Amino acid sequence: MRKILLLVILAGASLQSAVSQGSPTPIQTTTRLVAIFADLNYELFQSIQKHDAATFDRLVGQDFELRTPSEPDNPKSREDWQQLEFGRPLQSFGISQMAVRGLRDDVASVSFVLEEKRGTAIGSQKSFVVQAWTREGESWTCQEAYVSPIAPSAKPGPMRDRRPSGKD
Amino acid sequence: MRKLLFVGLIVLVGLSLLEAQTTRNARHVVPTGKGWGMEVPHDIAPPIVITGNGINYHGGPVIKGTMKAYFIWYGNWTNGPHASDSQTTVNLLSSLFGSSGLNGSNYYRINTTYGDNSGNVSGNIVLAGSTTDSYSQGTGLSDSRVQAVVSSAITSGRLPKDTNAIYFVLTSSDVRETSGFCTRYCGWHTRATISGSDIKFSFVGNSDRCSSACEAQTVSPNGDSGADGMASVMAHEAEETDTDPDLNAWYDSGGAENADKCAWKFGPTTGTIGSGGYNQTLAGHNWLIQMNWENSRGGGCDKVLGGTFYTR
Repeated sequence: MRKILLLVILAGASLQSAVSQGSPTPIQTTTRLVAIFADLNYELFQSIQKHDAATFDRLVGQDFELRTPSEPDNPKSREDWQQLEFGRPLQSFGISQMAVRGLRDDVASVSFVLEEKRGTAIGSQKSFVVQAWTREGESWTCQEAYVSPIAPSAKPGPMRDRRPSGKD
Repeated sequence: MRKLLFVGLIVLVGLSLLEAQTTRNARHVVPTGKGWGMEVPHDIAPPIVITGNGINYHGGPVIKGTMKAYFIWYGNWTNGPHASDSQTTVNLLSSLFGSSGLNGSNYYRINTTYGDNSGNVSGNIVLAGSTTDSYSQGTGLSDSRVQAVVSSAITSGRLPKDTNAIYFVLTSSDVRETSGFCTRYCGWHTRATISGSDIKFSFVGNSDRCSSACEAQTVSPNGDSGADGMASVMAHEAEETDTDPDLNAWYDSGGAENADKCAWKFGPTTGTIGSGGYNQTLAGHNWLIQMNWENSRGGGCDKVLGGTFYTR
């Protein structure tokens, strides 16, 4: 009987501990710039998904360079990146944890976690992406991107701000 | 001994019920902002009461009756670094939340399309009290320091403890919110247990700190870009608190609450956005306030209850 009582008390204590865990994560109202660049990046990755060269050309600058930690001295040109991306079927993608800093009215730095599922791969790959965008008139163009894969074991923080792509 | 066991079991059942009330229903994605969500375990299926309007009910309570608003003016709202750190802003936002502002307006009554098993949101909101806080937590606030500001206002008696209310922490433009104000968000809302009660509160910073991120226009209807920028974000947080106060009531499959689904969408305006355009007239002032998601007629963003739905 004492053992049962002890078990009941332990179960109760464990529940109480769960109850007393901190406040929930606040529900954020994203900035106007996050809304803009989330839409632009969805458009960009959808253009890759659909092999829509016209949209890709509109969103990616002529002098665009993509840099990765594995080849820091060998950036991919816009053409090389387009060829690479269009050659690998993008099954689904998701963008989360976006932050945008407007450095000037016409320059913004953007960062986010990209989760993509390619070809017949079973799992998805997460990368941390940093981009530089410039604006001419009302049109924003991506001029530079840095993409760093996130190791599956790495914990980049809570999986927040996941916006479904509609393609998941 | 049997009595002891019985008491133990009662305690366990009580704690289970408490835990069930305070833990969000497990699901794939829960809200964090405009159509964004936080992934959580999905071992418990949420009860979905109403579907078909683009937003679902998840079992938690809504605020019923008139929701009160309390303002905590944090920092320097007399003569801060921006012109909007001023009594003008205090007066404008107080009027917006006064009895002839959002309260019972055709705009705020969009929230009456939301309810829980015991009733619907009233569509009424009134400012019930204000206080000031002169940098008690410094000029760099974490989320927990924002909560401390609210807690201090209540425990000191400067504001009453009210579970049917939203407490706004409104920071002057020299105050940072370190979890991402201006780069990720313009405001947020949440809940916490303060002095043993379920208190709902919100952070909204002076949008003049980052006008390109948190303002739709710098030439604004009331000639006070900070107040006009904050007005839309505060309306957003208020309507989400009314319909999802404990973060377990109304949001869609992507984790977006009602106002998230219409963030930065204003519908048709009088005048153009960028030149002082506005879409609402409340409390004798013109405002540019984002639309809200109406939970009827299939769902959509509109400026007034029963109005035309607009996509931008």
